[in-house]
Amino acid sequence: MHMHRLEKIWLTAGVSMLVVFLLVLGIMTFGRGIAPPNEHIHRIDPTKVSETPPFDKPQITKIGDNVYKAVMVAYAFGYDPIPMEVPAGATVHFEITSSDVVHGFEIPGTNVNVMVTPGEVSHVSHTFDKPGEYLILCNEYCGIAHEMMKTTLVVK
Amino acid sequence: MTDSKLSTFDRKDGQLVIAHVLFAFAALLLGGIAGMLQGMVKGGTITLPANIGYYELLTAHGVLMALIFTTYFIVGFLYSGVSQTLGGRLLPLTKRLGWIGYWLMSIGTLIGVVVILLGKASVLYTFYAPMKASPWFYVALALVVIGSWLSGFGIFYQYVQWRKTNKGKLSPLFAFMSVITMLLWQIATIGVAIEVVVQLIPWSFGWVETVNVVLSRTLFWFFGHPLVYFWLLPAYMCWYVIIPKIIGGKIFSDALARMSFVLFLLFSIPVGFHHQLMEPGISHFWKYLQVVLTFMVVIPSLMTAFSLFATFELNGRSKGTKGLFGWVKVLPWKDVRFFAPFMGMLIFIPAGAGGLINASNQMNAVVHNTLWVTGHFHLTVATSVALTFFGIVYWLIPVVTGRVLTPRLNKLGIIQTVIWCVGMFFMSGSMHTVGLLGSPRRTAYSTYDDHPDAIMWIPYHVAMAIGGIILFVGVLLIIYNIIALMRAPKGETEYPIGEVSDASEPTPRFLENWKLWIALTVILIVIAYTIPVIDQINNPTPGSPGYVTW
Amino acid sequence: MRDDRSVSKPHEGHSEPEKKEQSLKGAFASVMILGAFLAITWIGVFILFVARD
Repeated sequence: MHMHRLEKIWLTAGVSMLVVFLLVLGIMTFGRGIAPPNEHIHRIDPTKVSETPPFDKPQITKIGDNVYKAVMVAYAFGYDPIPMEVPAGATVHFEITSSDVVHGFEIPGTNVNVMVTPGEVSHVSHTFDKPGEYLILCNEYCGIAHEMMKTTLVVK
Repeated sequence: MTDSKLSTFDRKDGQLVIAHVLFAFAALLLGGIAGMLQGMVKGGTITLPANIGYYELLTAHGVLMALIFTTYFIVGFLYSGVSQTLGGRLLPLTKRLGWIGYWLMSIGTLIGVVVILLGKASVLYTFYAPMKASPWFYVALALVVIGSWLSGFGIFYQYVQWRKTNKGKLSPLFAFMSVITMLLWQIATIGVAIEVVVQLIPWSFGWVETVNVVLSRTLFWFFGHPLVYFWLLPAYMCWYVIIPKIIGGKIFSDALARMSFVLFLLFSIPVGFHHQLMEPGISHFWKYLQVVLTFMVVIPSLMTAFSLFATFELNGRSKGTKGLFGWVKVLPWKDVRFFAPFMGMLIFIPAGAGGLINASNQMNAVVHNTLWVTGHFHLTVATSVALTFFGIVYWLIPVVTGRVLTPRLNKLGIIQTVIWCVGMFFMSGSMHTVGLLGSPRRTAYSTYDDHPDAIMWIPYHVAMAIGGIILFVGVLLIIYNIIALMRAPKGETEYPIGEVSDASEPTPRFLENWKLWIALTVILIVIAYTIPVIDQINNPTPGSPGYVTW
Repeated sequence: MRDDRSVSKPHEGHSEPEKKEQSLKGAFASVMILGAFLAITWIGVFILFVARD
């Protein structure tokens, strides 16, 4: 099939651009670990969340020098535990599951934006350099009070 | 073979086409009312009366706009061109399948809308488990899908019969593209059909206790991505086949047009994971693989962009224009049959750019479930596709009802197009911006207890509401135009099928090798989905019971 | 004039070279602008992503 010279050049340029984007994304994912969330597949019985450790006791604990683990449960229409507070510069590893329907877990202004699916555990991390009261909201429609489902993380 | 210039469109076929077009626009009107109300709620302008929920409206809006308006218009449009180009008349079996499909879809739509407005299915048009709607909601969806299959079979049958009686001849471009579109649909809907019939209906009736949520989402998005190409391809058909005729030019390349459609068939389906990038239960590797396949489906759109600009340029040069952009001057800007689809084409540039960003693996974290995504699809389906469909109506209704487009209606069409673009600029522009700032989609009015982030979003939500109201005016105007077209003066309108340019290369036979293309489509699906889906079945997410959270 | 083309017309594929390669510089310029738009918007969001950690 003959293709006009200029169309060939255009498609070469276009495809090259796509390849460059894919390489950047691929290297970040597989080389640098800057990947979409949830590398590890970690399952849980969604009807037994309140009985299954560590989700039977949602809490935020210090696990290293300015490193924290936040074990959380999402439910219609809020998050446990409340309240949550960490010092500025803290790295928080969130581990969260849902005790009912699919929820979202988004911190506006950051790249923390994951789905929380019943039966699965979501893992996402973030370093909070700037102090403030960070909004954490549900961005996956989950029912009648979806727009009220939120919590905050205070970074001092 | 029918000479498309002089014969009148078959009256009975016209009834089938009009039935689909009118149902589509009735859905648009209802869906548009819902959309405007949603925008006003989010903008803080109104609160809804107690018995109407925001999420009920949102469910109705999504179903009516994204499933009903689109599917009905597409089936009607495709049937019109299939009748026109494959013999001038639909065969009896084709017509029967078309009508049975129409009635099945309509019964399904009616049941679905009633269940939604009764508040028993506020699960949005993606109906993610384990939110559990009334079983009749899922039954309604199944009826719509099964009806659409029959509509597709009608087109296949007509095409196969034409090939038998026209051995050795290249099929008409419109018909070839129609077959690709419906083939894409048939294969894509298998995913959602399995989800609905095997998983959700038994679970919602209570015959089965739990549902595998990750699997249900995977099956949905197996369907959900090619769904958007089911919308887009008929718009591309207008751009490739109809627009050249309307501007008085020629189709740039029949072969490349067919090639682009084949590439859409191959690469639209094995890509559903790019809608699941932020969720647990699917590994990085498979997400990335499907992202690579998604980027491949950009290529036929890059080809289409070149073909369309080339069509315009060659048209210009054949009329004596000079320079890089002289061809702009001789395009029929005052003809709504060109202007509306052209605005669709133009807006597809930012629309596609947004899509590329959405699909970019980890970058999706910036935009996932924010209003950016809503802004994106209001550009793609609600502008590029919708404006193209609106532009089609100005010749389609006259052709199939034996009428003519009047200058007054043409003018109203131009005005409607401009109103739509202005409204969409405000609404989608604000959505993209406030989405980048983190404002979530599918969310009613909230300030999250007056959190500063949420307060910052308010002006954008107000701009969205204004855009939505302007768009609703646009909806009312297109409805008016449709009614006026149905009563336009009688006369003869030619079905505007483009002719291929003399300089275009002959089309290679292999492009019509259906066995090859279907085989490759299946192979790509197998590569992209088999291992992750088998894992989802063998190592399943523990099942969830149903929840009615509204 | 026909509105479809049969494959068995070989002679139309080989016109004089200059007729075959018509000027499509305008189309080329247009798509390159389109491509630049895709690149700029993508890079913009990429920068946002990287800046947010």
